[in-house]
Amino acid sequence: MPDIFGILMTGKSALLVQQKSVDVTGQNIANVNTVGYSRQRVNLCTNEPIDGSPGQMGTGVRAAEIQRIHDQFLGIQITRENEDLGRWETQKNSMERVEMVFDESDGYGLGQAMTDFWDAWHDLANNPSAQPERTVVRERSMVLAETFNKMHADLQALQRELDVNIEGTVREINEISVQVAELNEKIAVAEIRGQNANDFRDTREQLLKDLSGLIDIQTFENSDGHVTVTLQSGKPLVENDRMWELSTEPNGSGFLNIFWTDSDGNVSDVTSTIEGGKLKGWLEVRDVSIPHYLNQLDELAGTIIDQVNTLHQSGYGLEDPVTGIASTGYAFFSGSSAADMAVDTEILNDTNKIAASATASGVPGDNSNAIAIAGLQQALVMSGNTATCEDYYNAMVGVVGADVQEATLYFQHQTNVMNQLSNYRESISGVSVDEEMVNLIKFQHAYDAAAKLITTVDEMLITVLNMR
Amino acid sequence: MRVTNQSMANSITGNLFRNIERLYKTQNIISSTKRINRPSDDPTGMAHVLNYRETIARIEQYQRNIMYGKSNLEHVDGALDTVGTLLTRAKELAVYQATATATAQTRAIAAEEINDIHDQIMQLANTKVTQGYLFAGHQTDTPPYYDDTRLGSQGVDQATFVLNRTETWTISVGSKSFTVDVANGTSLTALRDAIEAADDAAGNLLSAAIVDDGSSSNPDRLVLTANWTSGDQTIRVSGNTSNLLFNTSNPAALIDAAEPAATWAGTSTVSSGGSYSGTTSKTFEFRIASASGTGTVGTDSITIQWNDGSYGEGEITLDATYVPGTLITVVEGLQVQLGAGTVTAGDTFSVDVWHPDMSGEYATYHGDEGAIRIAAGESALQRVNFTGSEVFDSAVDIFEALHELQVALEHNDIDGISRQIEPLGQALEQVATVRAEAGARLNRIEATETHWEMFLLQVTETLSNTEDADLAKVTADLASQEAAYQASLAAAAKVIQPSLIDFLR
Repeated sequence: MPDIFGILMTGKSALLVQQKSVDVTGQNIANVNTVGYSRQRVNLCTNEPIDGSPGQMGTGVRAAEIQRIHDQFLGIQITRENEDLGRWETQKNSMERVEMVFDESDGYGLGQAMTDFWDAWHDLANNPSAQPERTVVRERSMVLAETFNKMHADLQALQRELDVNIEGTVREINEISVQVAELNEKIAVAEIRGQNANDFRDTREQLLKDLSGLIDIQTFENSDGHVTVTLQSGKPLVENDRMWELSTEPNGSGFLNIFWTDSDGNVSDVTSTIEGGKLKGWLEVRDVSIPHYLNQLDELAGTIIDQVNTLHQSGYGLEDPVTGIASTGYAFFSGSSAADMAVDTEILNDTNKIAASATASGVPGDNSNAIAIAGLQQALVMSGNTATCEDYYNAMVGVVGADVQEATLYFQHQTNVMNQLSNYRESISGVSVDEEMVNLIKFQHAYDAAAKLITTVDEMLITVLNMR
Repeated sequence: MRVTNQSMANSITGNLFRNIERLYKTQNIISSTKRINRPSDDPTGMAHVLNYRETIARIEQYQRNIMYGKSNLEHVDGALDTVGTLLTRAKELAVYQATATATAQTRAIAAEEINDIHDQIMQLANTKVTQGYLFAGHQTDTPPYYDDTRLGSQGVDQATFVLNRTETWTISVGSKSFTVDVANGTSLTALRDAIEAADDAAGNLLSAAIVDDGSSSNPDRLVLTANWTSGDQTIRVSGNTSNLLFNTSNPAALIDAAEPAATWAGTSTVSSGGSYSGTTSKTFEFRIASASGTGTVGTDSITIQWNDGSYGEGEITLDATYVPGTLITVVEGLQVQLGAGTVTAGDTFSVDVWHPDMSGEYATYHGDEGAIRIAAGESALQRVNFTGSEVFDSAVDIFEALHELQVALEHNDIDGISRQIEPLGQALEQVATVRAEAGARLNRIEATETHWEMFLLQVTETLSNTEDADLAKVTADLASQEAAYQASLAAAAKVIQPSLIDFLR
C-alpha cells in the first residue's frame, strides 16, 4: 500500500500533466489561424498501479503522447484534387486573357475590321474613280491587317508571359522539393527518437498540398516517416532526404520545356507527362489553345490575302498620270499570315493602283472588280468552302468563349470540391476556440483540484507530524 | 459535424464572395444593358450576335449601294426628261418650218434655236455626277459627247486653219496637258514648232508633224500623235477654238475646184460642186471621151468619162438640152458643170475630194458600252447606267438628226426639213424607251430596298433579343441578389462575433 508520499506523487503527476494539457491547448489556440495546422491533444493514461491491499492502487496520471488529430487519407485526397484546382485556375485565368484578345463586345474587334474592309470596297464600287473612296479602302485595309497583326502579337505575348510563369513555377517546385526533403529528414530523426513530429508533419503536408497545386505528383510514406514524391511518370522529385531538380530548356518553338535531371546529371523531357497543377494549365493554353487560335487566324488572314490578291491582280487600277497606262497585276496585300499581313507598299504609295476595274478599257468607270472583291464577304472560302470568312471568325470567337466557359466551369467545380474537402479537414483537424476554451477550463479545474490534493496531503502530513 | 472557426470564416467569406460576384455580374448586365458582354457569357449567343451585327452592317451597305444606284437612275431620268422636252420642241419646229407658211427668215431663226437645242442636249448628255459622266459608260472621266474642239490623233488642215487673234490653247493628251501660245497669223510650221517646244517642256507627250494628205490644193496638215500606244491617247485642243476651223464647217469645201489639165484645149470652163458623201479622200479623173461637131457645150453631144481609181468608171453624156453651167451629179455627192464654150475630145480635168478624219460637227460619242452595276444584295447586281449610244444613238443618232435639221433650215431646204420630222419622232420614242427602262430599274431597286428595310428590322430585333438584357427580369434579379447579399452579411455578423469567451465570467 502506497504511503502518504505516494499521494503527493499522484498529485504532482496530476499537476504536471494538466499543465501540459493547458500548454497544448495554448498551442492550439495560438495556431487557430495557422494554415495546415492540425489540432493536438495530450493523451492521458494512468500510471502503473502498485499491488496492495485490498487491491492494486493507482499512482496517478501521465501524458502518453501528444497526438495530432489528422486523417492521412484526406490529406492524399486534398493533394489529388488540388492538382486539378491548380490546373483549371490557371487555365481559366489564361483563357480569360485570350478572350480579351477576341473581345468583340464593343464592336471594335476583328469582326468589325472585316466588315469595314468589305464595306470600303462596296463604297469604292459606287465611285470607282474617286480618291476619297480609294483612300478609305487603303485605310480600312491597313486597319484590317493591323488588327490581324495585333491579335497575333497579343496571343504570342501571352504565350511568352505563360512561359515566364512556367519558369517561375519550376523554380518554386524545386524550392518546395528541397523543403520536403529537409522535413523528411527532420521527421525521421525525431520519430526514431520516439518523438511525435506533429508540426513538421503539418508543414510537410501543407508543402505537398502546395506542390500538388503546381504539378501533378504521387506521394507515399514509408515506415520511417519519409515521404517519397514522384511525378506522374514515376520520376522521383523527393526520396528520403534527397531531391531531384526540374529545369527548363527552350524547345523548337522557342518556348520552355520542362526537364527532369537524374542522379547522373542526364536530363529527360517530362513536359508531355504533366497532367495537373498550374503547370498543366499554362502548358495547355501555351501549347494547345493559343497555337490553335494562331493557326486559325493565320488561315483566315491567308485566305483573305489570297482571295483578294487573286482578284486584285486580275483587275486594273486608274491610269498612270504620266504613261496613261492602267496599272494591273499588283498584289493588294503582302504577307501570307496574320503576323505579316500588310497592305502592299505599291498600294500604300499609290491608291491609283487599287484595281476597281475588271478590264483595261473599263478604266475608270468600271466597278466590277471592286464589286467582285466586296462579294468575297459572302464567298464560301473557309473550312473547305463551306463558310464565309466572317462565319469562320464568328465560330472561332464562339470556340474561345466556350473554352473559357469550360475552364470556368471546371474551376468552379474544383473550387467547390476543394472547399468541401477543406471543411472536412477542418472538421477533423481544425482548431475550435470554443472547444479549446472548454478544454482550458476543464484542465484548469483539474489543475486546481490537483493542487488541492497536495494541500490536503500537506495538511495530512502536518497532522501526522503533530501527533504526539 | 465539428465546425471550427476556420471553416466558419471560410464559408462566410466564400458565400459573401459568391453573392457579391453574382451582384457584380448582374450590375454589369444592367449598366451595359447587354446580356452578353464577353464571348464566354454565351459562346453560341456571341457567335450569333457577331453574325447578326455583320448582317446588319451588310444590309446597311447594300442600302448605301442602292442609294447610289437610285440617285444615278434619278439623274438619268431627270436628264432624259429635259431631253424629251427639247426634242419635242425640235420636232415642233421641224413640223412648222416644213410648211409653206414659214419663210427663209423664220427658218434661219429656227436654225439658231435648233443649234441651241443641240448644244443643250449635248450638255445634258455630258451630265456629270459625283462618280463622273453619267452617259459615258466606263469612261467616266471623259465627256461622252464633244464635237470638233476635240480631236483624236488627227490633223488640222492648213487651208482652213485661220488664226485671227493671239490666244492660248490647252493641248491635252490623255490626262496630261500643256499650254501653247498661238500668235495671230502663225504659219502651220510655226504652230508645229510652238507646239513641239511646249510639249518638250511638258514631258514630250506627243509628236507634231506636217504631212501631205494628198490634196493638191492644200496638201499640208498638222498632225498630232500621242507618244504612247496603250491607255488614253485622246488629244484635245481647247481654248477659244472658234478660230480653229477644221474644214468641216462647210461640207461643200470638201470638194476642191475642178482643175483642167495644162493641155486643156477647149474654151469651156469646168467647175465642181456638191457635198461629198464618200468616206475616203481621192481624186476623180475626168476625160472628154468624145464631142460631136465643134464640141460646143449645150449644142453638141459631149461624153465625159470619169474614173476615181477605185470606184470604177462611169460616163456622162451632155446633149443639146444641157444648159451650160448646170451642175450634174457624178457620184457620192460630187457634181461638175461645164460652162459655155467648146471642149476638145481627149482633154482631161480632175477634182480632188477628201474626207476629213475628224468627226463631223455634230456631237459624237466618245464613251464606251461599259455597264455600271451596283450590288443591291448578295449576287443581286443591278445595272444603273445608260451609255450615250443607248440613249442618243441607238435607232436614231439624235445629234446627227438635229444637225441635219439645222443645216436644212439654214439652207431653207423644205425637203431636208421634212426628212428630219420622222427621225426626230423616233428620237423621242428612243428617249422615252430609255426613260421607261430607267423607271423599271428604279422600281426593281426600290423593291430590293424595301426588302432590306424589312429584313433589317427583323435582324435588329433578333440581335436585340439575343444580345440585350431583359431589364425587367435583370432588375428583379438584382433586387433578390441584393437581398441575398444583405442576408449573408447579416448572418455573418451574427455568427462571427460571439464565442464562448464572451460568456465566461
